[in-house]
Amino acid sequence: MSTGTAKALELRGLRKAYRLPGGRSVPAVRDFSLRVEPGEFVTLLGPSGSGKTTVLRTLAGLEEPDAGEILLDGVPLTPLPPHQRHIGLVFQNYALFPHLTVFENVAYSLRIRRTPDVRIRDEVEAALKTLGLEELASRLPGQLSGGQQQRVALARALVMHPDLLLFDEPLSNLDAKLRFQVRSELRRLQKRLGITALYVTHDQAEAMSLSDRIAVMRDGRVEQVGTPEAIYARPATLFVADFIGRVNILPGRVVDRGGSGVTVEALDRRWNVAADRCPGAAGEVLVLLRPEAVGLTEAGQGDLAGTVEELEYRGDQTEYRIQIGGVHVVVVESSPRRTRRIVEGDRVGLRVFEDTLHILPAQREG
Amino acid sequence: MPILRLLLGLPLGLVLVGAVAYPSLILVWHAFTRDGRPTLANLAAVLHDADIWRVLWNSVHVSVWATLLGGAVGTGLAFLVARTDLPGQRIFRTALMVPYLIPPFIAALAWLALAGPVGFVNQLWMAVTGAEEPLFRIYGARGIILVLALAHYPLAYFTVLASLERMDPALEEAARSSGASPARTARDVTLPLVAPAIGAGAILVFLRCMENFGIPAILGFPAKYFVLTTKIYATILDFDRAHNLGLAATLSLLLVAVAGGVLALQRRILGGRAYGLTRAVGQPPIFSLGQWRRTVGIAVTVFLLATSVAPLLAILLTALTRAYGMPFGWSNLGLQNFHTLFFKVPVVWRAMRNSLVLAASAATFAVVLAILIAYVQVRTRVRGKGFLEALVILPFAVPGTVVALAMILAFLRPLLGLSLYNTIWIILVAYVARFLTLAVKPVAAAFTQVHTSLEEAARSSGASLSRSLRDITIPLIRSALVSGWFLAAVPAITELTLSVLLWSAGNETIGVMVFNMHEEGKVLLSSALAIVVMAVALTSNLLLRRLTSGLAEA
Ligand SMILES: Nc1ncnc2c1ncn2[C@@H]1O[C@H](COP(=O)(O)OP(=O)(O)OP(=O)(O)O)[C@@H](O)[C@H]1O
Ligand SMILES: [Mg+2]
Repeated sequence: MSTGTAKALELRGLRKAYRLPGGRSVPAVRDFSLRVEPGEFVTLLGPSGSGKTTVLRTLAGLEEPDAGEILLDGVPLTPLPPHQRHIGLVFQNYALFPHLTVFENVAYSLRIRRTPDVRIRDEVEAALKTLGLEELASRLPGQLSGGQQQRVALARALVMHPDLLLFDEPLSNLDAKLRFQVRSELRRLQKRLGITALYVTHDQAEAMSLSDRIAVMRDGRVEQVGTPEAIYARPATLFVADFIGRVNILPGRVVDRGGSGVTVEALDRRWNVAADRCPGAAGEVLVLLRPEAVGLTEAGQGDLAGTVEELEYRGDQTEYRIQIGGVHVVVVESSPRRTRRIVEGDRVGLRVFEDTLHILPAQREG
Repeated sequence: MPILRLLLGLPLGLVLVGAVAYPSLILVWHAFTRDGRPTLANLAAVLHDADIWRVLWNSVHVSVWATLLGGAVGTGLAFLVARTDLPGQRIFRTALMVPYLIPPFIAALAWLALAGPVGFVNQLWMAVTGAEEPLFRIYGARGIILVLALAHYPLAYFTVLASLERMDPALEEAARSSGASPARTARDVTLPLVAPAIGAGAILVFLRCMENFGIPAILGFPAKYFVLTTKIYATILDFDRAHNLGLAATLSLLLVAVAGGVLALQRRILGGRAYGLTRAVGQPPIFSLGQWRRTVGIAVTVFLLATSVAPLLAILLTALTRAYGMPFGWSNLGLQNFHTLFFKVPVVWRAMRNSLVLAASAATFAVVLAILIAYVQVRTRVRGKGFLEALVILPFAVPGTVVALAMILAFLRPLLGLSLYNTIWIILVAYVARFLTLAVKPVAAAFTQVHTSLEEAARSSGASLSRSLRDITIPLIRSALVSGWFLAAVPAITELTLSVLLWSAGNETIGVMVFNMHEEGKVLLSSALAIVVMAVALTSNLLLRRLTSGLAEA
């Protein structure tokens, strides 16, 4: 398979509301803007109903936006019907044509474009080979496993060398192990072919492992865009912090401000936080502490002292609920490092990795 | 519990043997014997009769054309309603139910009123142009094809519509984003996927046309144009002809063979091709009719006005006409015919009472039997369940004319000291046999559901068992019994094909009354009574629909 020249996608002020039969309208996407660089893999991550699918369908031309612009390398897409957009789409339920063989499913877009038979054969065979499907070319979709169907759907989208590849939760129907395997294959393939891709999921692990950048969505808007590391380590809002991974949210107060950062008071102690981790913080703040950014030590050692109220053993990890002077903090530790087992009721010391602390303004979001 | 088994098995066996197995065997026996001795004389007589070959050809001819016409109309309308931005969708969806609810023989009478020799269209034509000849000849093959097609296209429409609505919209969307235009998507994806449904709908239309009696009787007799069903009818009534019943039985087997052959063909062609289409989530892409939207909307409206509204209006006007043959005008309209019908013809009341009593008792018997059958099917492991199922379906699967003949042959002479022929009982037995399968379906479904929920409840506590009986089992079965009763009763009320062969003086049904009045040339009275039948058919169907949809929601 050859590599096309990747294109840049730009979405500006996209809006879409669904009109219900009763005349009511449901806003699904409101003022959505995003830029995807050529060859980049961006994931839309958000809770159910946040409008991810709607954005994809609008891009593919299956829904008409109420307002906003969709530009592919600067060319507006909105006037084009779906079949003239040259955008590959991979569905959650695969949507393979049940009456066509695997080969014909993959060949479909080429047949539409009146590609000569010889080239169709070469292209389809190359696509099937890339995805390890050569053996299955003459089967019908009904005779394939879920993982195989998923690959055929991907081959069908890839064979047309689309300007843009869209995925709507393509792995959610696979079992955990297969999901993991297809996930890494998908990533490798996209990098190799250098196709610009927009991927929808509500599984944060999937988003983290696949994406160059993640756009976290909430109620039809982009809440934050950034690399997986940036989103995890420096969430812009409480919603993002809470949605991605787990976090302890502690009340705090800025007591000093220096050139390299600020000093906050929380849990009856002072902490130094770097400048890039406390955007615009002053006065009352919220201190975000990830459960894995704390280590347990003997009582009397470390930065803080607390009592273990509850613990949950999970094999590779153990989760503790610890009371520190009236405040509850969740701590997650890798399990098998300790000789003496901690039990409920134990007094423990806590060592906090200070440079992972993140600070957000205290006002609650509406 | 042998006594319980006997208690359950005896009535069931008695009915299925007496009303289905025995008449079927007797029919076959009569086809292949004369005066009690085995012979192929009947078969030879039928096969050597050029007249019979023509009748067979007529049957196939009108059915094939009606199927092509009705299948095309039904499929086209289903596409327009399910996949385009046709204006007035909702109204069309409801309007397309109407031809489905009107008994075919009533539709034939309505078309006579509209386009018969002295129907409104031809009267107008001759008055305006001064022509001596009518514009349109409804008697004969063409009229039969037209009315058969218009009475049965809803079957194709419903089948294709259901398939279109079950199709996963993502399939068509996938085609669109692969670069296929709307037209190309329809050709490559939508059409192949609904093809099995189009085929199934067409077969359904064909079988119903083949077995229809009312339309070819009303539109064929005056032109001496016979199809198999009407030929069987005429042969049965041809008392002067030697061996007429044996010949009719042979013709019946011929009819069953043609229908069965078509069904077998369908199984072979479509057997491996039904795709497990998933339930649709979301809406399928709608193909814009663009500049044609208005035109197509008007065309569909005109079609429905011309084929559903105009004939009904015509028969209504005929029913309201005071004097037949007089020029049309307001002064010539009135309720006189209805007055005559209800106050001067006592037979009408008798026929209505007969029809209602027959329908109600047949439905009651059917539901009681349905409980036994469902019990055996769901709860027991006896052998021969398949045979039981076949016996239940058989009288509904074969043409009604054949069922009627089998009843005549089985009960012509007293059986076990019981004389049913020339009584209302023979009609009742025929109705129970014919409509039994309609009652069995919902009851068996409820039993299956109850079966599992009861077992689950039994596994938990005793209190929850009584609770589940009260909350689940009883309501489920009760609503299934009610819908089973109505499903069997509704078609029985306006039934013609069976009763027209089985009635006797004093035991007329309302369908027979309409038919006989029409045959006697009492156009005005038969039209008025047809309006009454139509009103009964529509009300009982609406009642049924309200009931079953209400139950489905509960
Ligand atoms: N066809 C439709 N008609 C009406 N409302 C719709 C339709 N499709 C989506 N919506 C509504 O629009 C909003 C966004 O839906 P969307 O499917 O884009 O969410 P999503 O982020 O993809 O959710 P999920 O993770 O559950 O797939 C929801 O509130 C949903 O109820
Ligand atoms: Mg979605």
